[in-house]
Amino acid sequence: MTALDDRDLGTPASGARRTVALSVDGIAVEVPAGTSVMRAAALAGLPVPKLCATDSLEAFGSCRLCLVEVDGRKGTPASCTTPCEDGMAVRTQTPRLERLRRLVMELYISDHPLDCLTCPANGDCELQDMAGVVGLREVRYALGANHLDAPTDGSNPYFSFDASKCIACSRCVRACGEVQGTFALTISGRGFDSKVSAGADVPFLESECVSCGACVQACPTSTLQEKSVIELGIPTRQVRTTCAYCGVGCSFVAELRGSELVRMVPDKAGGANAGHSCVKGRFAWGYASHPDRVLAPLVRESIDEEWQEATWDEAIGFAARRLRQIQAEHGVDAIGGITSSRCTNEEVFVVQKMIRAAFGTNNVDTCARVCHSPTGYGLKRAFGTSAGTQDFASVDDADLVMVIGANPTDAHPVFASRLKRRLRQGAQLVVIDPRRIDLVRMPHVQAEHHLQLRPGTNVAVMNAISHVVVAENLVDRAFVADRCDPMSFGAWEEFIRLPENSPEALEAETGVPATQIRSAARAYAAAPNAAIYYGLGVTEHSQGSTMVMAIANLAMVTGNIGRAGVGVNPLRGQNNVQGACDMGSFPHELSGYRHVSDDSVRSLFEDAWGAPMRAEPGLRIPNMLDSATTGAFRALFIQGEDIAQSDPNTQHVEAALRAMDLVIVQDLFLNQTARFAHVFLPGTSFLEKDGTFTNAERRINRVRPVMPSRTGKTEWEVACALATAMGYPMAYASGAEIMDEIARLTPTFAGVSFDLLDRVGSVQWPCNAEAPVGTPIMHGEAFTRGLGNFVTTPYVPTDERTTRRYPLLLTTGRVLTQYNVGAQTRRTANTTWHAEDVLDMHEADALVRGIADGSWVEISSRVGATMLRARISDDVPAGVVYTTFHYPVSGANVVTTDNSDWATNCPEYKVTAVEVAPRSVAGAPT
Amino acid sequence: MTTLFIPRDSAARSVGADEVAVRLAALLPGSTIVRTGSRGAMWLEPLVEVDTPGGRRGYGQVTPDDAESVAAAISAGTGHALEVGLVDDLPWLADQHRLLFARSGLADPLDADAYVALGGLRALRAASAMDPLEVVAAVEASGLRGRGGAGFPAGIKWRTVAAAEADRKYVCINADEGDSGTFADRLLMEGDPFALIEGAAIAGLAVGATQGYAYIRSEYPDAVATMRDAVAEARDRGWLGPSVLGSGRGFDLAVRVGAGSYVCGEETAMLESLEGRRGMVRAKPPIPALAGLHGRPTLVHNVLTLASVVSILGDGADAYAALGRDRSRGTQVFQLAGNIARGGIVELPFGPTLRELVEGYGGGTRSGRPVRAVQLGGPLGAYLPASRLDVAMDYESVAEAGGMLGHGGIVVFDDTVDMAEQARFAMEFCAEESCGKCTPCRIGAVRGVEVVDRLRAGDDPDGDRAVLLDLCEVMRDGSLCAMGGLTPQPVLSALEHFGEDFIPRTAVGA
Amino acid sequence: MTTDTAAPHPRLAKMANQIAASVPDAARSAEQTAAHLHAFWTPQMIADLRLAAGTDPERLRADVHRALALLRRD
Repeated sequence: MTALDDRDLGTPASGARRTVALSVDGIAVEVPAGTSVMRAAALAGLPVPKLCATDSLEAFGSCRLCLVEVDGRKGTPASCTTPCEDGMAVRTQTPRLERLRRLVMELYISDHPLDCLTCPANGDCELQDMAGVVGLREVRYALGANHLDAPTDGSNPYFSFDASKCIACSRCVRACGEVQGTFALTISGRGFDSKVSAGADVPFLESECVSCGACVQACPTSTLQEKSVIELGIPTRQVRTTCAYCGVGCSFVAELRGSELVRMVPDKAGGANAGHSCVKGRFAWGYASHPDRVLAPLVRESIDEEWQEATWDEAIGFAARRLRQIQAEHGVDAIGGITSSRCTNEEVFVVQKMIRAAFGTNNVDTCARVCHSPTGYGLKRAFGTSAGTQDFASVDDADLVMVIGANPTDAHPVFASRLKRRLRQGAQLVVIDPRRIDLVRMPHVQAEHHLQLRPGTNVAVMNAISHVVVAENLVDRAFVADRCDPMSFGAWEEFIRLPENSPEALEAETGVPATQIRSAARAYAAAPNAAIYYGLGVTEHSQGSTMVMAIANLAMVTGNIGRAGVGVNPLRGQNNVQGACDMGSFPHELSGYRHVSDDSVRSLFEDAWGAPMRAEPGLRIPNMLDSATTGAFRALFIQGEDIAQSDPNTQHVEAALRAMDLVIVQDLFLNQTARFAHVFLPGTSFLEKDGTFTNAERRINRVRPVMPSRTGKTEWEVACALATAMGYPMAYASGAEIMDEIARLTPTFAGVSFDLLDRVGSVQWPCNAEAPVGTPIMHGEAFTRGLGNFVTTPYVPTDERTTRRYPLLLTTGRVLTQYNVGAQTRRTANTTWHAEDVLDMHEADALVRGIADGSWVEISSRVGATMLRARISDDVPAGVVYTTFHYPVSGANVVTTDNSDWATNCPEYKVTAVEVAPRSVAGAPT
Repeated sequence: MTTLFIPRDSAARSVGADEVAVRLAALLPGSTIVRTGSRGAMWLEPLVEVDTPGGRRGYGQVTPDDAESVAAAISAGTGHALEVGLVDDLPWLADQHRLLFARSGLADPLDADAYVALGGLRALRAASAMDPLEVVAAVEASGLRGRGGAGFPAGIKWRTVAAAEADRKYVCINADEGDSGTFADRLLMEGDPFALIEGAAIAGLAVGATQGYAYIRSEYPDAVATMRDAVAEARDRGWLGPSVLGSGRGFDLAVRVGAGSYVCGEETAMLESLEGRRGMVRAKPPIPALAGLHGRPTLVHNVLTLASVVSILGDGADAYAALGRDRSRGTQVFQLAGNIARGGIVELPFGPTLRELVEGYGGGTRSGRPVRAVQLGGPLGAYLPASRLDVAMDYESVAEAGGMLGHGGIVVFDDTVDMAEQARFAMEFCAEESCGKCTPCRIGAVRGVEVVDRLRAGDDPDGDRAVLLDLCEVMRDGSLCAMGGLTPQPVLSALEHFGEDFIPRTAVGA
Repeated sequence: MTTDTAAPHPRLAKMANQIAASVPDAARSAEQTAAHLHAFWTPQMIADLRLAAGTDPERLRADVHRALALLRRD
């Protein structure tokens, strides 16, 4: 249930092109064939009363409030389940219908508590609304059998289930299945005893429920109700904004009561999420008001001292003086900064501008370095654009989906729900992952092919797949001839045909049976529309960039680019990875991925900014840290990132930070990195920001301030103040003005403005004169670079090999309820589900080491060791162990190495040779 | 050597047929005992038949205690009190026109050779050599209507499924016979299973379905076992399988046991149940003929409908259509039950009067008291008062008289019946069996029981009567399926014809 | 502009070798390595690599040496 005023048309839109014409209460309506009478009536402005229908769910026909009459037909069909037909004459209001509806409502109310005035949903309840609409005045049934004493299940930390208010409409059950695809809820019992049950009649918390909130959203009464609403009351105002968790970029309506945020409701109009949400975006926003938030600037001379609170002027003045001093002593390039993928495009743009224009160096990088920099590199070389090719809706047209090194149900849950729906409709699934991720087998979804490769052999597997496509003549010759560079294709074809790239030759290396590779390759090539979705399991390898290009090759050689249902789709980790990269955060590129060596581009910025631009690339994050240990690099501005926890080889990162003269951290919390900082500039949560995020599908979404900045400053104001204090005056009146500057300086953003976004909701770049409302699917007629470029992708094994000393391979990932380094989610009730990181290991590996399920173990690599609890799991094959990095105490990155992608230095998080040994509890971290 | 025929169907067994068979076998060494299906003369069960030169001689209601004397009479060729003469000459049977039940009771139901000898398989042989659309046309020409209750023209369904394009199609046999007082489906499955298999195979070939399912209610374990054995036998003989009778076209059948819910007799709830979900009614459209089992075109028919196809294809659509009256063609299997002297199967062309069935074939009430009410069409059918016994038993005439022919069940009550209690029972039955999906049925049935109770208590007769009538209206017009939609029939008919029963006894006395 | 004269980080050599081993066309690895270094490395990093090439030539692949030579020509 939601207080949104969006019209609910009752049943989903029909995708049919053919239309039918009918009349509803004498009004002529024309709708796509397959549209329900209910929807047609609502579109005609004649909403039919309803309770079990809602346009996010298929029609169900159970409540019987929406009965209508159709001329020439007997009876009173339900309008939700009756499709429109040509020439139909529908009546939605007749004395008979009004009478029937009152009689139905009388039955409902005969088994419903009469406590509207004290109910948390009072004023926000469809049952209450409908009782009014149908004109119920009296319930003539004496108190009989009822559910008024049915218990309330409050086990979930975020919502409660009050069975006494349930009207058994099944909207929650259907939402769990149709929208979320988890199928945790069911109706148990039958007849009057029908009731909603989680799992096998267990409390919600113990069931398969993933707390996505779809059931709460779907509930027309107060049965499933956010606890925050029960506690704070019905919201009174709304602000549309964008979630700040993963790269899906869900649109939300923040609902407030006065200035207090009551709940976050997924926005039905949201381009990325279409009204769906996950446990993080929907519920885990309480960190914004967590007492750990630092709200005033902090300063200290040395990291061994205690923090001193300071005014903004003092802190910024201190930082500016020290930065200039360091540059004077050690050179302009002795300082640099890191932009954050957590921040808005506007905040990122201003920080990189500060670094390039005020610092005078290209030593700017972004945390995308450690996740998707290979995507930017690889896709730019192959297609000409450093971004995914599709919108999320494209998956609705896919006949085969290949998921490589991604775990969408945990890391991109809202997209995963969309994907699962398509899979339930019959699309095939190929999973390429060392782990048996949930998608491999879950309710009503099963992967036809799971290529369970050895970590680190991605490129070998992808080459083998392409080898089969070429060797078995499954190439889309027409597409290759029309759309791709013939020279590059010729060279690539010759390479990929080599016997060394055959599945049989690579079987021993990859661990994947050749027959599996061949059948998966044939299925991909044969599918009318085959789409690839990939995550950090592709990029975070020594050959991450090569793998991205190998994926692009496979898509091109089979013609799977340039239309709905196909494409190459990176699933971005953080909310604004795409945007941070777009905004010119890489040391070699200005906004819009234009190399700093390009004189015309540089002069554009020099003219606009009135400052000289350097023609040579600056340092990447790992280069900065390396240079810090040698003393060449001495000061770092870090916007919203916790490199001491998130970056690999923690000891090395800490040594580098410790070696610097000045570390400036801008963040919500005193994170691990802040232990090494001299200046702490409090940041703002997404609820306080005014700007834009760009999600994994290049969709630019508005982030609107739900509440004023709790620090008294916007983050871009802080960067402007620092630049100004350093002698380069920077000032903007608003986020909108920053976007206007971005648009002026960036061709792919030329048409973007807050005004446009406020008008159309969101746009996908490129958005310019050629595409005034954006580009959902790229490379339709031609590639951005003209002809698609095949890049030869020889497999080069990683240096990180198992040895007798380190015989296991560690790979890392995340869980649904936690996010990245956990700075936010650890400060919410999401810890209910995942209170510590654990190490998944196969029973065989555990047995030989004497490790029991749940016992403490030490995991060590050649760079470090840490401790966590072991979990015996057959999700990982023997020889592979897996953990998450959400908790600083377990510090998974203590063991990850400084190996990295050859082209981008993206760390090789996904392959670390390790040993695991049992440890007593006494040695456990506390 | 003497051959005895003793039914093996569950009704006969429930009154001791097994024990009788065992004793007779011991008493008559050297004789052959064939366990058959039932003749449908439930009032004579266990009916023991003995092969004689003149025909089969019957002994009715033979209890195990009677075995010795009956055996003696058989051996000696002397008379016996239980003897009923030549069975085929019994007027009760001889006056029937049996197509569907022509074979049941004559042979071992699992003896496939006997099935063929008795005329079986002619229809499938013919159909497998015909163009599928010719078969569909024959079913259309026969005028066959669905025997499950709704009486929908079978030919239209067949043509719809045949015309639908899909990678797979199904035939589903609805054998979830849940109506009280009906037992014809069970008798047929236990007594002549190959006829049902043959009918399903013909349907499969005609509409292009390759897989069939027989959904049999869990309360029918004997029918399930018999059907399973018969399906295995049919498969062995090539009547089912990848190439039916060598036609090159495949059809197979599997037996599924129902979920023990009345509403699973509703076709869409049955499909849900077959797909492994709770038996909950689906909204229509889409109709199962276009999107049924697993979303594929599905021909759903009752047992008797599919078995009727054997006559239609075996003897010709014209011969079939020549039987019956008006828009009700062929034969109907009337099932006499309740307070009736001669209960059982009476198969006749549509059109006999209810009086002929109840008083003629049925012999009036078993109690000997006057008939007061007859319920047609199962527990949700209307009650007709004795004054309407002259209604002709075809779909339209019965509807005109305020009743529902339904599946052919006829339940008789004598003048001791409390019709208010019967009305209450209808609501209670609905409350018990409702799937719980739609509101009028889920809540309404429970309220219905309560309102009938209040009405009978008599505190506010006018008010409660108005509420009950309103409730019946919303259940009839508002329910999702026939379960809730039909429940008002027995209630309203009881109110209409037997209003006096709803007045509290105290009020009557006052 | 003053430049710090601290010793280059040892990882530069490893990175350069990895690039040369990973560029698409093994036959043109020196050219492709040179192009890559030019596009993505700071002048100081290249200078540091050159320093390492001089002091410890064995640590670098032959094509990295050739790439440095190509870069000098630019």
